[in-house]
Amino acid sequence: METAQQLDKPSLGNNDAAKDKAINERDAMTQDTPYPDQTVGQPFVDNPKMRLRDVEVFYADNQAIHGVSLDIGKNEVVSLIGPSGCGKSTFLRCLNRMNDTIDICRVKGDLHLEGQDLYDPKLDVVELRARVGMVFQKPNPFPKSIYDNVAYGPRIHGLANKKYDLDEIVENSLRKAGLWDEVKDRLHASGTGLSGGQQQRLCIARTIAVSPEVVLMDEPCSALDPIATAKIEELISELSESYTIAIVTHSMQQAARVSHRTAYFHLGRLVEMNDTETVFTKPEHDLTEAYITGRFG
Amino acid sequence: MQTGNLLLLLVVMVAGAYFVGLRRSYALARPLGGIRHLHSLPFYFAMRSAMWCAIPALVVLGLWLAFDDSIIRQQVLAGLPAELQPTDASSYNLTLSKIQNVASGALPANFVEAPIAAAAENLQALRQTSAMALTVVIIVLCMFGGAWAWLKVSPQLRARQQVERVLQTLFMLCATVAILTTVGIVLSVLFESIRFFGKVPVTDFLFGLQWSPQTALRADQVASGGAFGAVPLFMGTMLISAIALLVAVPVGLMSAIYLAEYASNRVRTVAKPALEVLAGVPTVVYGFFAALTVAPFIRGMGESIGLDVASESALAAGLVMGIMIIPFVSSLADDVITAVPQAMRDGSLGLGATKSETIKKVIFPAALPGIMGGILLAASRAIGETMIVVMAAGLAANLTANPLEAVTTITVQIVTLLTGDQEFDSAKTLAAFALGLMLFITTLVMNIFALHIVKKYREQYD
Repeated sequence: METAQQLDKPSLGNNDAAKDKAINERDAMTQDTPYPDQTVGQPFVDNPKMRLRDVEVFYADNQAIHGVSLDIGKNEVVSLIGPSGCGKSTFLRCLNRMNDTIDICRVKGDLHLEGQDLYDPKLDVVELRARVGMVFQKPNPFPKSIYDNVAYGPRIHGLANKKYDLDEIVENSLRKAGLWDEVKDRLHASGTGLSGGQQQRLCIARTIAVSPEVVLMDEPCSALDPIATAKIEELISELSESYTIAIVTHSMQQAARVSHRTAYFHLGRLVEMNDTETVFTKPEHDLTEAYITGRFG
Repeated sequence: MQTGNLLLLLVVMVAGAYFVGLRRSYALARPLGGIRHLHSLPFYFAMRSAMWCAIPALVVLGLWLAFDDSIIRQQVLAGLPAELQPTDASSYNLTLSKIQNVASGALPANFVEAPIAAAAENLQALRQTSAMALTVVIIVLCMFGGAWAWLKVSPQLRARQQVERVLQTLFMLCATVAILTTVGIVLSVLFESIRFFGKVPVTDFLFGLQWSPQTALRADQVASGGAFGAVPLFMGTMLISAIALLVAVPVGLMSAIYLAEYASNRVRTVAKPALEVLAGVPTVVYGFFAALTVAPFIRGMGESIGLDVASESALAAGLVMGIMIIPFVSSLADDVITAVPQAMRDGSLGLGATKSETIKKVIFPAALPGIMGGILLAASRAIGETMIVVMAAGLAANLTANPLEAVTTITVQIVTLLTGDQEFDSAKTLAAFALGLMLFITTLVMNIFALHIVKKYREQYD
């Protein structure tokens, strides 16, 4: 997809930088609440792929996310960590509006993908999800053949005119997902017959087959064994060359291995966001330090 | 004592055994330091006592009631003098009812032969003896059972397991009732059908194109010779069922998709039960709806565009039957669609598919086996449906594929063959059993086919 042409306004200018500063100052002033209201570290980057400000999510009357602001840079791997129930998956699902499928869920705030407001009522959600793909916690291949699983997205979006083109997309996606050599002889076998790790790589192949700009991964390795996990992690590093990736994970080692920047969530708030190395070696916030040293989580 | 009173007495004794067992187990537990020192809870000891008291008595009671009448009858008839001994089945019944009527006082004793009157007295006496003996036997059995159970109660007794075993047997017996009933029905239909095929060749029945079951009762009577070709009936059944499915499958499926995927929770909670009410409407109501409202309407419509429509048409019956079976399709389809995991929907939506694309390409294929099952179930229901077709489809056994003509179905013919006064050994009446057998085989094959399809094409989506 040609995203450069879809830029209808400059994504980040001085104006925004000033606003960010103002937000940070406001947060600094309300620090005396028991909750971690202020985000420490460097949540913002220059020229981000996704610019997310004051995101709030409600399930009916329960507020799940409280004023989270952060940026996701181009071709960056951002990992979201935090204890269970801290809202990191909920936050991730806002980024391609998967929360729309939950009736009682409401999202507030400014969420932009390269200047495009994600919650603009005129926005085509279907098109957004083609630009921001998602890989889920549990591998969920369709009960179709491996080929049809990967070809599903391209067929829906009309990305291939001929059978030959489609074959090429399928092969490239499977190659990128590191699955081609394992399945090239049985492309028409059922996708559900693969092992768990292969299934998850198939789901990744299926996601990148529609050439998204951003890939969201919601604990992609939590159902996999260590060897399959290692393969997926390797794959994430390779994919970051061409895609922007946001990954929710419960494994701090995984966050440390695959991501450039790490965001620590606590009780629906963003506590700290920094370079991954900084977060794991010199955490600025006490809560972050407590979590990464294993005092809770 | 009368059986009713005896049962009442039995209940009282069983309740007594229960409480005695309960008290005994508590009494046993007290010196040991509480009921936790017993192997089972006092309830199980009490239940065990009640079972020991009731089960042997009930078994004997059942057997006694099943056989005492025929044994007594045999005794009474054996006592008759040789010239009054019945020779065939009808005179046997006549003699017996005579004796019974005298015994019950419906027939004065001086109206019949002396030996018959004596036999009636004999019958009375035997019956009284039997009832008396039964009462004594039951009471003794109850006492012995209860006492045996009472004696055996000890802290180590595994009463809980014993109660479990008895309950297990009880459940099994209940399951057997349904199976045995089915077997019994099938066998009786089968035997009558075999008698029918003794009169009419199987090939005539299965491949004959002419159905007119009126046969002459006497040699001089003016009537058709009787033709038992079932093909027109099968065609009629299939035609009406096909029309019904053409209505029910699309409407039912789409409403299921709406309810499962699009409707809000509030709509769903109201609409789903409302749709299922359709299945609760008595079929006879559908029947007169079809005959009095839909059929004239179709006839009027047909006439206005210059078509000749019979006043009882396959179309009218099929349409109404289709409406009747909508809930079968929609309810089952709704269940299987809802059972498709949310992960499948998320996966598809996450790739940028719209809701309808997701339904068409992911949910529908995954739910297909269940949907097929629902459709075949609805089809079996349509084939076996009687009331609507009796009222709306007509009796004329036309061999036609034109839905505007009157046709008749297997079920309608069974009804007409068996209603009214019939002798039970003519080919006409026996034909009903053969038709029933065919109907049974058809639906059985469809059900097996449905199971097979469901098994074969089930998409593993976990």
